[in-house]
Amino acid sequence: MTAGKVRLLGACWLACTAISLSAQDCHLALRGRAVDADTREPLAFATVTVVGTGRGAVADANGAFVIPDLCEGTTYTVTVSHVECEHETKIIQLTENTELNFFLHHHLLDEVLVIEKAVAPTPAQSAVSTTGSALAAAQGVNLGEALKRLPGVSILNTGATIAKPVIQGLHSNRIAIVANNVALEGQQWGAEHAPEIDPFTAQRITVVKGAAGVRYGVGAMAGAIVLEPAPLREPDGIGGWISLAGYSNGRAGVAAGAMDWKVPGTTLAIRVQGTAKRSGNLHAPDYFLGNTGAAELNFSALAGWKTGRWTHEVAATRFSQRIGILRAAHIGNLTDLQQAIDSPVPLNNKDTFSYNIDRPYQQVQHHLARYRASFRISEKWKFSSQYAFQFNNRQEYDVVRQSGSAADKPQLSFRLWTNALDLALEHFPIRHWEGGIGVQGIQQLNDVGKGGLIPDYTTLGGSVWLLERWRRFPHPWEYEVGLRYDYRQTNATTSGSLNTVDTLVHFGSLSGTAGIIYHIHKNLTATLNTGYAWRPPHVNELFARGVHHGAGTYEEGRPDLLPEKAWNSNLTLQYQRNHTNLTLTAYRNQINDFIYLDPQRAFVLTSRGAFPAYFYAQADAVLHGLDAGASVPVAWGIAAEGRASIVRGYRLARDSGETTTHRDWLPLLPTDRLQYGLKWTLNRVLRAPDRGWETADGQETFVRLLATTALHQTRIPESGLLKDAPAAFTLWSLEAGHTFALGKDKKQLLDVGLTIQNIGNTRYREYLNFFRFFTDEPGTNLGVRAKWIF
Amino acid sequence: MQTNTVKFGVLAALLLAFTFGACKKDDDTEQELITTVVVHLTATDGSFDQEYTWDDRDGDGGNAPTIEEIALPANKTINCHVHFYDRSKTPEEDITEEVEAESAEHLLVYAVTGANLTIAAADTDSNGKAFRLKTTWTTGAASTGSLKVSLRHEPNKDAANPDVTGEVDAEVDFPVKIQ
Repeated sequence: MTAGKVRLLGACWLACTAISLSAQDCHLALRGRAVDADTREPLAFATVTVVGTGRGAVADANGAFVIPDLCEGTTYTVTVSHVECEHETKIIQLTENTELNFFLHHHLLDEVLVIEKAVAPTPAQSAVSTTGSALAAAQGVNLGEALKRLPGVSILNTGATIAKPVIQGLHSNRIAIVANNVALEGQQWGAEHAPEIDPFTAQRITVVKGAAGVRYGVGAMAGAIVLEPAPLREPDGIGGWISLAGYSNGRAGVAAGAMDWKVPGTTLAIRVQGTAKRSGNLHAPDYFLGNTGAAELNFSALAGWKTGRWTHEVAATRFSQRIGILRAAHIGNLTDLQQAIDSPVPLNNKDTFSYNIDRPYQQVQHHLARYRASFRISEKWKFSSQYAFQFNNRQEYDVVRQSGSAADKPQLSFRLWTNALDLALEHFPIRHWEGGIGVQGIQQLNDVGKGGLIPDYTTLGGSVWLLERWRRFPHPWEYEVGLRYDYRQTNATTSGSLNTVDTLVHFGSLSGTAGIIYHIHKNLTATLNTGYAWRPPHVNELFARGVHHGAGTYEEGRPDLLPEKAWNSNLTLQYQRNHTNLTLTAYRNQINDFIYLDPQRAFVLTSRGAFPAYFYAQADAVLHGLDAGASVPVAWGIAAEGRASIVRGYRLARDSGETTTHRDWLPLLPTDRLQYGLKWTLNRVLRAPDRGWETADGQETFVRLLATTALHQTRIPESGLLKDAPAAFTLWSLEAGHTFALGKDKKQLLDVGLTIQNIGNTRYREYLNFFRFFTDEPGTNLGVRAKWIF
Repeated sequence: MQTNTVKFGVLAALLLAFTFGACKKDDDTEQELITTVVVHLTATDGSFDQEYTWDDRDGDGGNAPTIEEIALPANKTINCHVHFYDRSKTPEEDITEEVEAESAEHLLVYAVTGANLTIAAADTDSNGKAFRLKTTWTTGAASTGSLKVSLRHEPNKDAANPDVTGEVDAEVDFPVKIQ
């Protein structure tokens, strides 16, 4: 998004500020640019009129305009016209100084309602988003499903129901998940702990790739996943949506809905949202996967209102989930594991359909409460503050003797309380610089049930950050610089557990980011970003001690680990013209003191036999790779689509100081993955209104056929792998969507969709699925969905 | 502006207080841990009565387990009863009772290497199928070797070889000497 040229119409602005402020604030500015929707050329000297007020402006040679002194909360009709194009009208209500670009089409009269827009510019860093129909098709499954189409993003699975996103080869503690403007605080260290996120709460999900620590904190060493909810309702009245979906595999049903209410005559807007999901045993091509059912029930509420120059927002969410773990994946010792691996079909598997979720299963609740208040200090400056409370309650139920005292208790429990306070001072462009400074405080308490793998701990942390962006249209260069300091102190204690620890560790470090965007040509942009980010070692890496079931390994932490430091550079080239879209990102991520599990060539004797020992160790590592995406129109509304993700990662030297001449590949790196297919957009075909099922304005009617090819992973560490990486495979999927306009005034929408995953019922196993030792991945899955928006 | 800041502070303080107040340690989890396996051996002629213990009461990792050598008289018939305990708890938990109560869902497996020792079942489960918590041992001539004792949970006792089905709850090795 390019900023409008900032030009204060001096005299008028001064005149207006001289008038004392009434209850209604009348010095908001609307900035923007008029752009040709097809060519993206700026429309010089376009006329901008605020209908009925006699106000307006003429855009400059670059299409940029400013209309100062508009009133808050008043509905304006803004029309932009230009001799070469049809005029475009938007109905707006300002709550903030707003940037709004007008894309002048040839045959479209759009009505868009605009509400508050964040001051912070989008990151000058490689990022990809999913929204609209692509997001809608995956919302009913899980967060991983919603992201796995994006180049550079892959999924780490523990069975089909537990999915964690992997950004450019890194996951768990090395990436941050930011939902509703709050970084999710759960038990993210565990590879089998799925993020507690309901994708239905998001309108857009953005993956920021590379070191994003300055913007999103120490958790975002390798990137961040940002979920943005739809804005609250602006016009008085009630709106909302109801979504129903069903999936053949697992006989799953999903119901979700949201209701928005703008209380008439006030500034108060309220939303309540809920999601319910239920699924049973999934089916691989040859057998059911016993105990793979899942149940989920989520609620959220959001309210926003204004008092004077204050804007308030309160949010509360509750996420709860019960996930069955494949019974066949439950093993006692190495012999069991070897037997499970050697068997072509899963052992101890109940090959029937059932909705029952028996032991082993996970039960997780996540609660969030958030209050955000921002204050518009002046036309240029804004202060915002946010307090967020999170409570994460995870319980893991293992297979036990029913007659024992453990009959109805979990075998592992983790409870994590987090308080976070954010204060920020942000500004609109001043001499073409925009950005802000801020501070953050965080306090955490983690309570681990007796016998847990990790000790209890309390964490205190603080951060100071500064982030500024320079841009001046039509200057082809944009710059971004950011600096942040974080401090974390963790006190790990355990009483009553077998793992006795009482240690205080503290870490502090600077992180930084610098980015340059160069608009080489109106359609071609290059972005170069380099960032330095860090991450303190997590309590599990410092103090873990015990057998990691499922992996069949004995793991032990190392209390003297140093923080990981990442130096990430990425270069992105983006070409966009009409409907052609090409993106290429090359990156290199050097991580000093990368923490990994090092096999010890020794066994630890336990009462269930001997397990191979893995100790946490650290060494410098490098990850580099390429992400590419392309969408090119061919003919008749058909576009060819392709995406590729390639990553290589290896250790540079062992921590003993000895340098290795060969590359020690890092474990669990995503396989090379290609997606290619065709998308047929039928909007023009369906334009003829007499057919009665015309596509609603601004929506897409499409059919997409997509193949995914994952190559065989040959770059695996020499030791510690009990089973060869699975063979390469290609899967086909089909997707289709259409949106009906309903009601007398065509204001209601009915969005229907169809998805078929794994069309050929192909038998395959994913390298990044821990359960590849035990079973094939699920077979064909037919999904239908309908969403009624009113 | 002033009042809002105050309100915000109060809200934050309240939530903080709630958070700390909500946190107290309780034992809501129950780990099933077998730290100790005891083999109780009594000769049918009353000439021999001994217990041999495999013990790792600090759990997985940490200190190595202590393992006693099973020393048996030659050419005897000996009754064996195996016991399982969790001695990481105080008082210790006798898991043998739970195993006996769910005999149909458990199976003990014995594997002798080297020593002149044969082991035969002396009990059945609640369905009349193999259980082997109690066994009869017959020793031969003097020899040394080892014995692996496994406790299997949820085996398929109808399988061709039930000894490799289910999953291992405990599996320990004792050195064996027959003299």
